[in-house]
Amino acid sequence: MEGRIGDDSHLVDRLRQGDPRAFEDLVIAYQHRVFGVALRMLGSRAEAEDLAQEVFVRVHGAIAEFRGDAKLSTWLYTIASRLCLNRLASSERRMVREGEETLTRLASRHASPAAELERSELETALHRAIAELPEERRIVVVLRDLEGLSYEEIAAALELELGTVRSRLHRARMDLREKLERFLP
Amino acid sequence: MTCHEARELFSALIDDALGGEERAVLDAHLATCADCGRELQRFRDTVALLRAVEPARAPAGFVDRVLEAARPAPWPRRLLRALFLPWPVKLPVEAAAVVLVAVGVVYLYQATPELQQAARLESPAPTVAEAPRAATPQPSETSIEKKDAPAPSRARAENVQRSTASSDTSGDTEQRRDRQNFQRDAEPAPSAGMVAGGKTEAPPARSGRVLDTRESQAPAAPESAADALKARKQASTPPAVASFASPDVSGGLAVNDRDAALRALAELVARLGGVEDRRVSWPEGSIVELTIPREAYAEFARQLARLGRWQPTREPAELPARVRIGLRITG
Repeated sequence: MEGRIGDDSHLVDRLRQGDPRAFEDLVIAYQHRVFGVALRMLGSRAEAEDLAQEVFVRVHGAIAEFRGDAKLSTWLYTIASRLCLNRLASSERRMVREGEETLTRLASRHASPAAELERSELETALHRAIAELPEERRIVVVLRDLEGLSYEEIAAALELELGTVRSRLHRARMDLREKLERFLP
Repeated sequence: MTCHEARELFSALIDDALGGEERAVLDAHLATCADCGRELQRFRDTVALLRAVEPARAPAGFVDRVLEAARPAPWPRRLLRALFLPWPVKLPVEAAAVVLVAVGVVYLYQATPELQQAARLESPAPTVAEAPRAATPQPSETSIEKKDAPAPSRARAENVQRSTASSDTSGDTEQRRDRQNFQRDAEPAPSAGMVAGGKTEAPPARSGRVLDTRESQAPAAPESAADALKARKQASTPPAVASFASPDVSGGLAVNDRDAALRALAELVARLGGVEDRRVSWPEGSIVELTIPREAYAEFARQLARLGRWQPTREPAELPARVRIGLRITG
């Protein structure tokens, strides 16, 4: 259920037939992925949960409009990405203003044991590096390297040309390579 | 291909998204450029770091919160859901409870009038006392019913009417019962037969038969004179069962010596200018129905409390001029 992307055709059929349990199954199957995208994009867990919830509410309201010519997962990522970018664009908030607090919190799960200190440092650096990427590049690298979408799926979700996806992804990775230099072997 | 051009293709190379020609040119460059080879390795390591990031997990309870937000059912539906879901479990239990309550209500409803009827069967006098009282409320209707009573169709109509009356718990139930009493008194043959036959049955059994009779007789038309008589006889059964007119005051009196209490009660009623209408006794207790003047009621209640533990179950503030009292004496 929580794998990267599975065969959702059966779930889609049940959703269209109005199976009351289908939507619940959909949320269970995609909750972590949608939340993950929101968290990487927004930086705050509370804000990410709020946005992820909004994604599913919209999906629930628009399930009848889902045509099925795209994968269900792509459709969900489309809605999640757009909502994230809209929120980032419309609000005055910026990841940088969240500052150290958010970034520390993101890595705090592994912060306490001494043995994980190094890993914690790497994770903190990783999240910081991702968070500092420009939004249009960040969403591409999140969808590609953290969520495992193909170029085509990213292009569909973000309504971009394949070449644009490719170049933004490359720029994002180049930025990250420089910022993570000291962690590379 | 320059180093810059080669490095621009690293992402696509890692993702295996290069065309055949691009791939061949890049491979040729990498074969001759050690710097780009090292850079490619660092690029690969960076992407590997990214892909090793632990996936985020939605917080606990997220699914429930989403479901609540996505399907904000109106409160009546949520209430119904809470009451009836899961329906395979709750519905049978609730249906059984409803049936149980219904049976209990019918039994209780029938039980007390049944005892009153038993008292009436044993005492011939109350019929005389009751008739004028019962006839008063609806003289016009009772005269019509008396006139049409022998016809089979009339019997059916009465049957339906009595079913309605006996299931009615509103304020006019008493009037309907009085009317039924009068009807029964106006049809002596079936009633007398029942009295002569001494047909006193246990309350549940009788109430069951009455219900059966109503169900089977109400829709069916009698086909012969004998059927008509039979139907009328059966039709007369419900009022016989429900002949008890609710007393104005009722309650229980727990005494130590029931015989002594009954004697004292009779003396008290006589002293206060009242009359004992009915009395029936069985091993567990006695039912006494009596009527006393309103002005004597306060004294009656005081004296009753001396006879034993008097617990009224019905004692309205407004009493009629002649107060009918039903006592259940145990001890």
